[in-house]
Amino acid sequence: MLTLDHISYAIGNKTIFNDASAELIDHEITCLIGPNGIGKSTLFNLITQSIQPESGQIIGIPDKIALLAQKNELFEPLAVRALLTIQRDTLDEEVLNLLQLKQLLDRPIEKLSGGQRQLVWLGYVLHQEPDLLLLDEPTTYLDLYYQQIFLKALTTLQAQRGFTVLMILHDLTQAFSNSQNIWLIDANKQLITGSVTELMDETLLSETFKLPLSIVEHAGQRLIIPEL
Amino acid sequence: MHKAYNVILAAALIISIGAALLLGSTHLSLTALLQGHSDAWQLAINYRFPRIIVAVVGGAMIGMSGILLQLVLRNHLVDASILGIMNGSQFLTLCIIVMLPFLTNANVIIAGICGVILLLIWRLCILKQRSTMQLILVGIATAMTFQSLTQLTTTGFGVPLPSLSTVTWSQTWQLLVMLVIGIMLLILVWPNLKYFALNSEQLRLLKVPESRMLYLVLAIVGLWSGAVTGLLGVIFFLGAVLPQISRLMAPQAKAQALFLPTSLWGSLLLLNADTIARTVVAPTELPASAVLLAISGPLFILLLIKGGR
Repeated sequence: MLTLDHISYAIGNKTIFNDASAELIDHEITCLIGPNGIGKSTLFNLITQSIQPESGQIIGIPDKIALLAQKNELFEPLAVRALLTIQRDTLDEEVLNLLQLKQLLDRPIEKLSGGQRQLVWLGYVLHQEPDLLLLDEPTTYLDLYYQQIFLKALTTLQAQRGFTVLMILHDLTQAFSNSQNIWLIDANKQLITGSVTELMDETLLSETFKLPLSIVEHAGQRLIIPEL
Repeated sequence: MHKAYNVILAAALIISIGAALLLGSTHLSLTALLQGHSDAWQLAINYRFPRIIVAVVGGAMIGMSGILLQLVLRNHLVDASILGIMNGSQFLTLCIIVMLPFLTNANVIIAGICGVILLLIWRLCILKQRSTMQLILVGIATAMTFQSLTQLTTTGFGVPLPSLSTVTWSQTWQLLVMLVIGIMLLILVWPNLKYFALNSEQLRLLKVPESRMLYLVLAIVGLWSGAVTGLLGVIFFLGAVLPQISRLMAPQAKAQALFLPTSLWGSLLLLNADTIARTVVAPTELPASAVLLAISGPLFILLLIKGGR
């Protein structure tokens, strides 16, 4: 289990984390939420070890981590097939079906729409068969249709295959409905962790995002919306 | 489609080699060669063959250096000439030969080594994720500086600069040795080259040793660009343009698939530029590098305007 053990990290004088501790539950989906600029991506960088904490340590970092970044860069005009098979020889039929990539295999990625492209990148990280999958705001640039396909495919495959997911999402309804656990960085930069039910708390969320939020029930779903 | 395209290029290259063998200030006839006239064979062996080999091998080396550099720098607008490496190794080689004249006959090997040294220095001092335009402008300023230094040295010491018209068998062998060494290094990095389509962070997560590969690739590029410069002089923009031509033809291929067409295009252009240079106003020989620049310059402008990254 990946464990943050009293992590502190600062950029210049600006403290990002001060003595943060958390455990990432294996084989489940955890959503990382919090205001912009609070240090969510920095936490990802700590987990992938592209930066080191100033004190404390991260224990149990899995061997195979895959990362879907906010902006995924591609420097050669590859076709979808070439990207998916960059590290292996075979295509994963199930992933292709869920992500609707079958028709796109021989198309150059740069010619695809933003939504299709993000599905291709999800396909790319899934083809790595990671132990831990990190997703940094994967649905931010997608329309509702592609957001739905994206999250559906992700949760379906996660349930079947049991890899661990840590995902940054800004849409709180999406975050709570697509995961089992929540990591929340509140306005005081404290890392609060718990199950989805534990953290489904109007006061906590409203204070974190400095905005009055309501939790409403609609058609069996719990929606988190700003008070208008 | 892909294969057919390479076959066409290879066929064109074979025809061009034939033309280069027979055409020139003295025309060779095929019948004379076939009948075994010794004069004809002497001309072919002493002058035409080394020149053709150098043009074919040198063109391929420029093309492959271009792709390698563009891949590892993740920048489709650079090559060794634009970064100033070709002019730099030309000047450095010149200095070494002026100071140690007994090394004159090993000039291709020395130029290759100079290329490697310069590219490694360049890597350590300049390359720190600069913007494309800044990189290109710094490179061109470097190139121009070295060019003027070269000019001052050649005029001052009366040392002639190399050109295709003075190629000897000894130089040809040196170039072939450089080719073989480079290819051996290329085999080491070959399986990992495709990963440079991704950014450094992804490479780290995939556990690809990017930094080690970068140094190996820079060594190959330095060796080849230096050696080619030692034989032909500086050929501007060609290495930047050749990979783009092959990318246009095979746009979705992994990087490895670009090597063959790029090499073939390089050989074709260099060989035919040389043939043109020595035939159009024969018996006067034009410099092949100038003919090439007249082609690659406008192509590079087109590349910039088309908005390559």
